[in-house]
Amino acid sequence: MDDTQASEETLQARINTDNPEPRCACVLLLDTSASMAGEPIAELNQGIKAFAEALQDDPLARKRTEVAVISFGGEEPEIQSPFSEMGAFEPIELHAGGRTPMAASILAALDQLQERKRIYQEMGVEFFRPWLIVMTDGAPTDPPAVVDRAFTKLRDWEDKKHVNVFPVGVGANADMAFLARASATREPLRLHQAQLPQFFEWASANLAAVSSSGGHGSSDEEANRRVAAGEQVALTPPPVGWEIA
Amino acid sequence: MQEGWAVIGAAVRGASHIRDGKPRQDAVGWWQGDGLLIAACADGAGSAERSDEGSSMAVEAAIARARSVAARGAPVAREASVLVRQCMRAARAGVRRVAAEANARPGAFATTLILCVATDEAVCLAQIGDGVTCVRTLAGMSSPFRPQRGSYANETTFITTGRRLPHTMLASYAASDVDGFCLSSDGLKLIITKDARTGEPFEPFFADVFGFASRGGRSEGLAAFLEKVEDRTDDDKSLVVAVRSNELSGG
Repeated sequence: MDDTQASEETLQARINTDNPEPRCACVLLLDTSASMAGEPIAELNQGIKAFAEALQDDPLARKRTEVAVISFGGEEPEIQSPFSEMGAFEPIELHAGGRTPMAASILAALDQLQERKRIYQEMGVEFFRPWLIVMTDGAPTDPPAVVDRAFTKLRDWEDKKHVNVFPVGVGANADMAFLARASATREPLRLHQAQLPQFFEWASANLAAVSSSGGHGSSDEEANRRVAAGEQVALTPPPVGWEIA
Repeated sequence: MQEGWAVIGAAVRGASHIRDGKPRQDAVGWWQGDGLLIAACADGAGSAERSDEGSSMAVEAAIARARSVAARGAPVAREASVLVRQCMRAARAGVRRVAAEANARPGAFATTLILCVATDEAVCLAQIGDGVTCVRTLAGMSSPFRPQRGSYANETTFITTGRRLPHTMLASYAASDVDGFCLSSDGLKLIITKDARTGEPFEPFFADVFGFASRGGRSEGLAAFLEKVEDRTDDDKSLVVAVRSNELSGG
């Protein structure tokens, strides 16, 4: 090829299509105890559906976010949906009933995250710091020893930056003091049931933003602040009107 | 005496930046003269408000330092391994000065930086933060660095970070061993590395890129490729390619 032709040409280069997408795992840890019956559980189901749809509509987030749903309503935590790529995620209709084994379900969620991380490492997949959204309208009914173990472990994980924790109280009876123990860096949000759609909108938008930050979420002093706040990218502030306990 | 280098480069705005109306935060630049080549590639932090200015300033300041050293001809400073570190420090100082003048935190201008300085004796690379490098030697293609990351996929280090220059990865080659090198920001990582975690180059890509530059391909042709390639990230994309110009066909 002579120089004249070469100088006008567009580079054609072979690329690698086999590197896996980096992943962002998110556990939705949801209270489905008896007190959630009626409108709250309906709003919750609606919220999860909208959350899933928003992420599935985002071409990158649908490949990069992986969501698991664990509910606590009854005697034991229940894994409603194990981790799956968002593109393959199908929300399961949640039903309300029973007690509030929130602490046991926190431990179950951390086990799930641990296992997911192991799989990522084994498969050679890069990953973002996982999310744990814990939402309750009451207080844990677990034995005190389990509560202590769960919250101690969660705070330890948070300290070690193993997880971003988002504690959310729904309605007037949510025990915000308990929720405050879930995170040292993020104060629990108190939502009215009617604000659930807004919350899930916020969560999906921000999870999508995190998972698409192929480049850099953090920046020096700001990064230090955000790391202290457990955040890697600037999260859109929650909608106004939220009561922060 | 080695021949000179043919250098091409481009930085293009990623799909997400276009969609969100954000400026291009990647910057590239290079300069050669007086037997010296410097090439630079910077990636401004997505979360930092003025990182587009940060990355441009980093590239500009690094190149300015190399030019002033070349002009003075100070023999020690012209040593590639010394100079590449000086240029890195100059980039940090430049970005921090701009931040100070703007009465802003240096973090608002956060950027990564990859530099390569080539003299008649040596080719030296320096990197802070993530990004992809590829050096072609007689032994084949390799990346001297692993991407500098935290535990998570979107955490990295910036030249502005902390009270002094953060740890700089350095690699040095005898000039006679190197006939090409490539610097790239993080945006292309998934498609130009064989393994994104190690930064090991995907050789077919770099073979094509070096071939293109050797045939006299131009920066415009590189930019056109960057504009249309399926990058799988939406991020800004940038690339600087240098090959020995005695390889130019018919040259």
